[in-house]
Amino acid sequence: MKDVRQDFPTLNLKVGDRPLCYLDNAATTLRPLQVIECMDRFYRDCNANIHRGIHHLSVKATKMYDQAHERVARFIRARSWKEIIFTRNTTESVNLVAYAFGDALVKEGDEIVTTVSEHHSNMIPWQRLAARRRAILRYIPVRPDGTLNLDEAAKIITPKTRIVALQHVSNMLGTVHPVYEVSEMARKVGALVVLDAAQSVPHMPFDVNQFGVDFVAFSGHKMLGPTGIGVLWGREELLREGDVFLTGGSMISEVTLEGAKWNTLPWKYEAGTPNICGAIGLSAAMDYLEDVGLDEILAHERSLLEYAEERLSSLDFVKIYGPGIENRVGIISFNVEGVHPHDVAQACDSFGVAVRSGHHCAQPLSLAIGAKHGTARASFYLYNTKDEIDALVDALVMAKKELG
Amino acid sequence: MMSLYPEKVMEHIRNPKHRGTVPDATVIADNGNPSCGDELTYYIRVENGLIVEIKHDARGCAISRAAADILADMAEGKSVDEALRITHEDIISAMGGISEGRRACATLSVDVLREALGKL
Repeated sequence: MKDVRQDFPTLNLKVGDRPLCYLDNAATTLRPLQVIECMDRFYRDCNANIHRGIHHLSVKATKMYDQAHERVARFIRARSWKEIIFTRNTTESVNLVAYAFGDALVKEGDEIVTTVSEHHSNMIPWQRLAARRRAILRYIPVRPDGTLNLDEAAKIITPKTRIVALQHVSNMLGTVHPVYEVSEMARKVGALVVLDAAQSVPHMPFDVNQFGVDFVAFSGHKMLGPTGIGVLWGREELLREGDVFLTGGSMISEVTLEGAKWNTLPWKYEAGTPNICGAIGLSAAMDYLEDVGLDEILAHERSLLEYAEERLSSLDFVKIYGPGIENRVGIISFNVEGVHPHDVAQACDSFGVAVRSGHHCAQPLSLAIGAKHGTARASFYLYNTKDEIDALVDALVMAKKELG
Repeated sequence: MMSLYPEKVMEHIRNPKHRGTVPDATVIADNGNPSCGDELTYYIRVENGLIVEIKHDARGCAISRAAADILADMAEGKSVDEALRITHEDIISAMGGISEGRRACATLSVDVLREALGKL
């Protein structure tokens, strides 16, 4: 893989007198100059609101925003740019599905299925939907290593199931879930399948058509893009028929005092002035990632994960969670014996190493894998190096010595 | 190598002075930060409006354990009214500087102490 580090100004920062080792990519990633400069250029040269503007700048901005939909469609191999809806983030994308599709589809006594492994963003919207519709929310359990128990899934997904929502990759453990197997169970009973791909789209070649799912949600800021821009992909025929979510400007084609007609796709689901610059920044991030190569990025992260697993498992006071690395990507979640994860993260910070600690917005998973206080988590991306993993190991040795 | 936390904090982590229980406690209160699993119980014996003995059973990160111990030091021997006036800022400054991200770890101690004394 080509050297990318010079593109990321944040990597020049120091923490105290140590170079920053940014290993918190599952939370948010850094941005390359190509993204930062693209957004800077947009505000300098094109700034305007989109659609229905006659003036020069508006036409220019509209074209760029439309093209951003096409850019995303190409990145995830969507059949049409009309299937790309810009949201704020994965959370909003999942909420859109829960409100616009869930409320119409789920009736009293019906069942919604998700998993114990989910990020809260793919759990709470379904808890709320179940409460609104007096439906039952059921969870596919995990084994002690955090992998999904498919035998149980086969019993839980029944003809009563209306929606199955699951993540592709666990944000806490890096577990890659067997999405196709689960979606196949869902399809057999006619349930919609919602995939949280926030931790997979940024890290591997991704094709929305390969999993047999109906909706895919992910965030721009976890893939070198800006915060405040997310994506929902949905099958066009579903989106065309679906109810609306947020209402107001842009999402209408005609308004009277009595009511309104909805706009065509994707605008029907993009109410109000959208995050125009965010969408354009995300496009630049996708250009960047494809230029480096998603296969190359996946392989690079694989080599970092292998190295981290080898180094951390050589420390007898470190417990690593999750399945073996053959079933994980880019994330290592662990605890230092006798040391609270927050103290581990603090020790790492004193070495310039940024890791996250706690429940990683997946509190039920923490409990299910026996990590009551959560874990410390290092998560990798294309710019990380083995030297940074060495710094992490030095910090863990210090944490154990000082506090363990 | 420099210590991870200020020396005073490290001292209370290594050798807590108030760890344990008070068998004939006047009040007991416990609470936690559910987001990180820190838990703290204070056992307090009060005589004539004075805190004569205070122990804790802090179960959480090093900062929360140290804060529980340092606050017990600050409160013991004080009147209940004086102890109720100890603020979040007081415990933070008594610890000699901790990072902004760890405030909640430290201030749990003050909240549990107030909860206990509020029961009197």
